[in-house]
Amino acid sequence: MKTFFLLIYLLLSSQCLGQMVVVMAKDADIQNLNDQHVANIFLTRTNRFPNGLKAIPIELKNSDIRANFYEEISGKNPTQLMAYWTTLIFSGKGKPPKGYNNVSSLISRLENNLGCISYISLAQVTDDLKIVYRFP
Amino acid sequence: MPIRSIAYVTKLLCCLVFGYFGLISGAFGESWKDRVYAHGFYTLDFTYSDSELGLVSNDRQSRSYEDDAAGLNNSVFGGQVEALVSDNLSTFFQGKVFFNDDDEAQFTLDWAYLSYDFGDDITIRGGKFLVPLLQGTELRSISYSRLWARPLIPIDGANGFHEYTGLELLKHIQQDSGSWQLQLSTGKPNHEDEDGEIESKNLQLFSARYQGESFWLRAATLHGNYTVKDGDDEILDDSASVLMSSLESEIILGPYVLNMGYATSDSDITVNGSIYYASLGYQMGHITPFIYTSLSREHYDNYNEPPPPGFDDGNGPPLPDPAPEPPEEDDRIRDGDYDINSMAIGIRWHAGEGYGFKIQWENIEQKNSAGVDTDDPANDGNTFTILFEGVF
Repeated sequence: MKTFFLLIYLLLSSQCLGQMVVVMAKDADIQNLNDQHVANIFLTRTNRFPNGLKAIPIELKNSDIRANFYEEISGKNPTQLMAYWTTLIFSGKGKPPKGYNNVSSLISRLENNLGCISYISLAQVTDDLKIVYRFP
Repeated sequence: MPIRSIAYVTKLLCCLVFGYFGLISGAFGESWKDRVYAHGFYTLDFTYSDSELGLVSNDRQSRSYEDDAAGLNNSVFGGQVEALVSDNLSTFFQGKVFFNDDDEAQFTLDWAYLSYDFGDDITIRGGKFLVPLLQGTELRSISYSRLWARPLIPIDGANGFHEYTGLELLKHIQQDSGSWQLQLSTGKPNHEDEDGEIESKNLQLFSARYQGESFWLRAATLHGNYTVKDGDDEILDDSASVLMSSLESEIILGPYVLNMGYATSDSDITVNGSIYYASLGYQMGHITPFIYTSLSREHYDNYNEPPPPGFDDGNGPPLPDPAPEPPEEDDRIRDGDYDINSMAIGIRWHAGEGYGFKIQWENIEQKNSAGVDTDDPANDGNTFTILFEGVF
């Protein structure tokens, strides 16, 4: 029975991750990013896209997919991630993506700034956004 | 201060703040909230000491812990604001409130700079900074950034060269599985020296940090020039220098977290010192028991202070002809070391994302083969700490 529930859980987790996408404004110059680009931008190892334009990562506060996203790009759990950010934030060497309280604010910001990039569920992608990275 | 003056200053500050954010949002047609990043930190620290101790604290280089006393005065609260003035230009301020030696709340601004992003992950910053020699110097006030409770560096971690005003050049380099962060700086240090005998002139420093998937490694070196004065403000040496270096790492191996660090200072006039530390934690869900040990060593070489004018080799006057036994009344410092050993065990509890608790017992012991006068304080004793810490 335990195995059955474990399989169901893994299947659902996989489904959730499969629905998570990285998006930008429809008119942004970026067409596609790879996993390394996404990790470097969201972990503030770089503040530039591969074409040299400024990257502004943003995210939804308290999002259900946030932990999955960072686990996927960095292998860090929320506690390890907070430790990572703390050393960067308070030495002025980096900062986490700007957090927004609701999806509409996040999407509005994405649609109106060509440098903004975020991760959302596939179902939340609007006509004014484009997907620049899909998780395998 | 007269009430009218307070009202005037308050109005002026309000105008400056609102004008500043108005400038940011007006220039880009965006809400200022989109261009301002704010973060904070806090540590509510209750420490009991069974002896009189002089140790580095959350807020500054040396705090006196009284014999058989307990209190919350090692607590610290702070925050930072970074505002993007344009896509390339930003300002950054970080300050903290702590309790000074008179147990009065005091505010200090640790970081205040203007930053310009040249693209290609090259940034130049100008303003006030903390030095990156060991994480404990740069992140001393951020208890949440470390596994253990009290900042590790005992006594002279960075020889008083903790902060400076100047320019920094930062460069990020990405690799497949990690990234480099290089920092080149120059400026004037604000030397922490209660006696006023050290007047700093300039410093140059270089730091390189590699962030891997499950570890980071940082090396830093600092060269500083300073003037040495006596108690009457007479210059004893106008061209003294100090070279400090550090190497530090954190490695995560499954549930194990290993931290190690080494720092050394080689000075013309003041004593040479070195620091070693290591800690090991074992993560069990939200609970991480840990142990740590550190050693601070100051090496004395017939050192007597202050050195006489014209004598600048850092060793002080030579002793008279060697005698089998120094006379009892001879209280000069001998060849030898002044060590402070620290050993601690504790538990960290991550109660939630960004906050938690620590409990730590620490034993501090000194060994004094150099004959340094350490009556005030003796640095032999125990501390017990319970703290609540967090970042947001």
